[in-house]
Amino acid sequence: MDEELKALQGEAAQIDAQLAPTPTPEEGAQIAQPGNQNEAAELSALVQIVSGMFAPMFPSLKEIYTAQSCDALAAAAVPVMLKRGWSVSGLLGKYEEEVALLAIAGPLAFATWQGVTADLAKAAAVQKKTADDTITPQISSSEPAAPVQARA
Amino acid sequence: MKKTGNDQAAHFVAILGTTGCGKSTELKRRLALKKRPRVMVWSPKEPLDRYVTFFPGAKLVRNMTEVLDAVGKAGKRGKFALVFQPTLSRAKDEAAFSLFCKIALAAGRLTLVVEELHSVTKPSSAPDGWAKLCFMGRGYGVEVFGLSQRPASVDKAFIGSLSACHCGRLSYPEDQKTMAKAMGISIGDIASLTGFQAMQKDFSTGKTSRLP
Repeated sequence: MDEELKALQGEAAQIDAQLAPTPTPEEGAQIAQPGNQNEAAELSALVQIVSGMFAPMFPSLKEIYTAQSCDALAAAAVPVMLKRGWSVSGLLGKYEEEVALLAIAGPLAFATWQGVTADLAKAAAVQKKTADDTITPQISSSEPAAPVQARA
Repeated sequence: MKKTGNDQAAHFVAILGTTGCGKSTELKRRLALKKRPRVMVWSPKEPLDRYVTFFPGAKLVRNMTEVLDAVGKAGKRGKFALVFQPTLSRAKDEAAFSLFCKIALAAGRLTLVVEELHSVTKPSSAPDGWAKLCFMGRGYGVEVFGLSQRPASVDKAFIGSLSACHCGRLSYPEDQKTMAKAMGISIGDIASLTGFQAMQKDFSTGKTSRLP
């Protein structure tokens, strides 16, 4: 490594200590491996994408699934996944494009459904009002009725 | 002959505007104009922006040791693309961003993309590494693309170093005022932008244009 970059290693270690969530020592030992860090990053990204997809329907998800909470969840989940032999990297790697499309298309489809439903309801209301106006007889009038004249 | 040191042309580009005004599209259009074999991206909204898929072979990292390793392995001329996703906690991110910029400067000859610049800079101050990069980046062959929704919150060191600027619509008057002043145009020029319209300025020629 270049000398200039080597000189930055100490600063990098200090900053990493601040950036990292606070796992237990056992979790820390496992997560410290570079492969596992990628695993946690990908899992966190996946959770954020999925929660982002449902956010238009359930806005409170935005506040619950923040980057920090997703990181913490991923950091806790990775040791369990390793123990069970599960991997998220393969899944996200293989279906990366599909997940990205779903993340965009899902909220768009929901917004479209909401918009069209609202438009139809509005049109039905206007139609009903027009029909009511046509059927309802004029009960009151500002002009007084002409007196009935007796025939001679 | 390839230019080196301070003979190199400055390439500091700001792409600014409110959310949904086409900043990412403009950035990707500019990035696609030529091959960029060495790239570092600061990407706070990576789950949405997905720079890791835009640059083939890019690596997503979340700590500085991995950034150093990747850049160190590439050496002064090797190819690499890495995307750093910060925490969105200002105190932590400012320190990390400063180091990220120092690493970029030490590596040299690369493209640095900084998304949501206002999340790590303030109008009156900038992290040390970023300020250093704005002053010296050109000499080390670092080209910078800085993006932000809030130009009024971006540091003056960057605004003062620009070689080009693309400004989309801005709804907040302070942001309009900042960009009008920086680009030498009227506030009305910025305030009247709608949709994907933008004002562009090339600071090396002084030419200003309106798109579309």
